[in-house]
Amino acid sequence: MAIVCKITSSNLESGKKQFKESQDLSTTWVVPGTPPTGKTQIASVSHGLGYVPAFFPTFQNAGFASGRRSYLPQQNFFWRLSAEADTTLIRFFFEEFDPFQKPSGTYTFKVRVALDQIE
Amino acid sequence: MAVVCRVSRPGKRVTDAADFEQALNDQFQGLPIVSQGLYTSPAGTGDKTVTTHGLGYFPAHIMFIKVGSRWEYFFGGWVNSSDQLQINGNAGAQFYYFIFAVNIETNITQITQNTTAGGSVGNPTAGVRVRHAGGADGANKDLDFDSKNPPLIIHSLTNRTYSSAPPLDDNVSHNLTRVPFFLVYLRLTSTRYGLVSNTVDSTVSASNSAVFYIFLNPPATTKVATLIFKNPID
Repeated sequence: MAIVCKITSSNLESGKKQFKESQDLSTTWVVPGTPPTGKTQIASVSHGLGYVPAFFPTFQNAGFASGRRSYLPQQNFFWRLSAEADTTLIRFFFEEFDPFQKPSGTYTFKVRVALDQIE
Repeated sequence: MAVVCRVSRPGKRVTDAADFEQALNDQFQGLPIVSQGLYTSPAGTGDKTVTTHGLGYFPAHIMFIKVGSRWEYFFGGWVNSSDQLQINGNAGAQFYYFIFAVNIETNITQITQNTTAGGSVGNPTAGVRVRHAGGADGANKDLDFDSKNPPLIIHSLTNRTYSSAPPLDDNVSHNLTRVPFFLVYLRLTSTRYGLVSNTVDSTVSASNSAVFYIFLNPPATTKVATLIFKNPID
């Protein structure tokens, strides 16, 4: 099919699909005095798309990188924080590797959900 | 060159919309998808080729891995100088990948028009939609462009070369005044770039003024490509 619409800078060109945003969702996790052991779901948010979308889970915590925002999964020697998506929810997980050091404070999770499907 | 075409996001007034409130601006670059698809890693260990893109450069890319019945953002893949997207091992695992038409070894200078949020208007009844060849009219996710679901918009792409002793600790400043969506790629070897996140060896993060990265054990001589988008994540 011939191109029927084109604007410079590759911003809008039929035949070139752009990666599209859908929504931003957020939730928090207040780390309990005794964090869970093993892999445990700690929070979830609903995206409502009915299919598995591309998604970019981020977190912010005072103890990580001076409170700057970064991506999940985040893993160190002691624990792993991750996020998993299905057709309805984004779920957040904590997994303990070594109880010697524990997370603390409040984690603010934000996830940018794309419209683009990955399954 | 003056802006000749601009479309705002739903609910935003186009005349004073901030850069991140725009869906289309001919001065800004979006994130066109070159290819996307599902890949199942075959049995065995070693490097495996997910796809060959044929672009002739190292493209921006992202991957997801299936964990049980759900999907996780994945940072273990890389693109190489043979136009391949590869992973290592993970026998039997399923991956989903996106490859974008952005050469991560080039630089894109940030263009800033307006960082202050503009006025709001009512919900729009119109917008701009571009259907993909063969795509259905009603399938929003299959559209090439939709101002109601705007694309990610590139703010800057910065390449730096390092040869100093580790750790590698640096940042790329921006003037967005918001925490932006970002992707950081590390040159793993002379022929490979991989997307990096937070592990025991690396930290990447963003503030409202810069994107930061720390690598404890980077290659002796390496490069880092930092792709910053106008879209905020704060």
